[in-house]
Amino acid sequence: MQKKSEVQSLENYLSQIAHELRALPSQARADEMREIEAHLRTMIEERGDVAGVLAQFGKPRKVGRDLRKAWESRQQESWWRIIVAIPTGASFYMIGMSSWINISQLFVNGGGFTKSPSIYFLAFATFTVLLSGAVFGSISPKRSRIAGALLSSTILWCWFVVFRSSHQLDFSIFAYGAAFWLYQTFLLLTGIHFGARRGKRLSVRLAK
Amino acid sequence: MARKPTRGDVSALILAVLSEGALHGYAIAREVERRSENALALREGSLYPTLRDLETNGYIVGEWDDAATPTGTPARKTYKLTAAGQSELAKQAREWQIYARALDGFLGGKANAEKI
Repeated sequence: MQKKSEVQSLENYLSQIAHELRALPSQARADEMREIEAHLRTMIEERGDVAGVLAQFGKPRKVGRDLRKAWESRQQESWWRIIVAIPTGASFYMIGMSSWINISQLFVNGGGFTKSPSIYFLAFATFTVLLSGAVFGSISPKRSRIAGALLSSTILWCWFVVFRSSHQLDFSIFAYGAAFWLYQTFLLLTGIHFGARRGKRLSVRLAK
Repeated sequence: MARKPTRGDVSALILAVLSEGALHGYAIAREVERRSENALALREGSLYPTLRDLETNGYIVGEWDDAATPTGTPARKTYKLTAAGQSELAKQAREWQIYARALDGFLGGKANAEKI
């Protein structure tokens, strides 16, 4: 039979894990705690040494944090979020791209712009691409980075095809294209990075 | 002295144990100890996050057995390997063999065993 102090240390241990899991929906938290408690009680029955068992199990806050992160990754990639996020991210990206194409049309052979692009338009175009990256990153950061790099390269290819009709492909056009591609990829990947961090917290809130 | 497996090794150990039949978390941990003759000290707190990761990746699937055990311990979740899990296990086993052979060249082999 366990001493009162041993029961308390087990309860204290479990409550520390539960505290780390407080952001999870109640059913998910209950399932995790049920499983861990069953494991711990079986170990304690077998060995009798509560302190030794708890030490072997590991630091409770770390156990709880690792479980929470594993759960959050699972939620991030749920199908309904992918179905909602992909058209949303793609829409922002298309708005951003059409703005950049308008800006690019001002660029002429030999370098330079016929008219300086408006700073507000540049900011708007930058912001929409960042936002599209953030939306993609919130669902699946690993896949988004690969998809983002591919998307950016595809857009560059499309841009060259469109540009050929109105410009001669001289060095200045290639240099502008390279700078354009680097900047778009940078914006997408930055958006994905911040979206991934936000997405983990958002996925937990949406699942509740 | 017992060695703590790395996070990557823990997933390989779990897949290997489950390849022989479905088990719940506690039994997985005990089986790792038994088969390694206590050479591997699994920190059980790393077991459940790894099980969740494996479930997320579709390598294992868990099911609750709602009947309490004869000793009165609460119901348990049993895990079994999926087809994707079998492939992942085969891949990890191949990678481990290449790694172990490479390490053997430095640390293992008859000549080194005699020195020890």
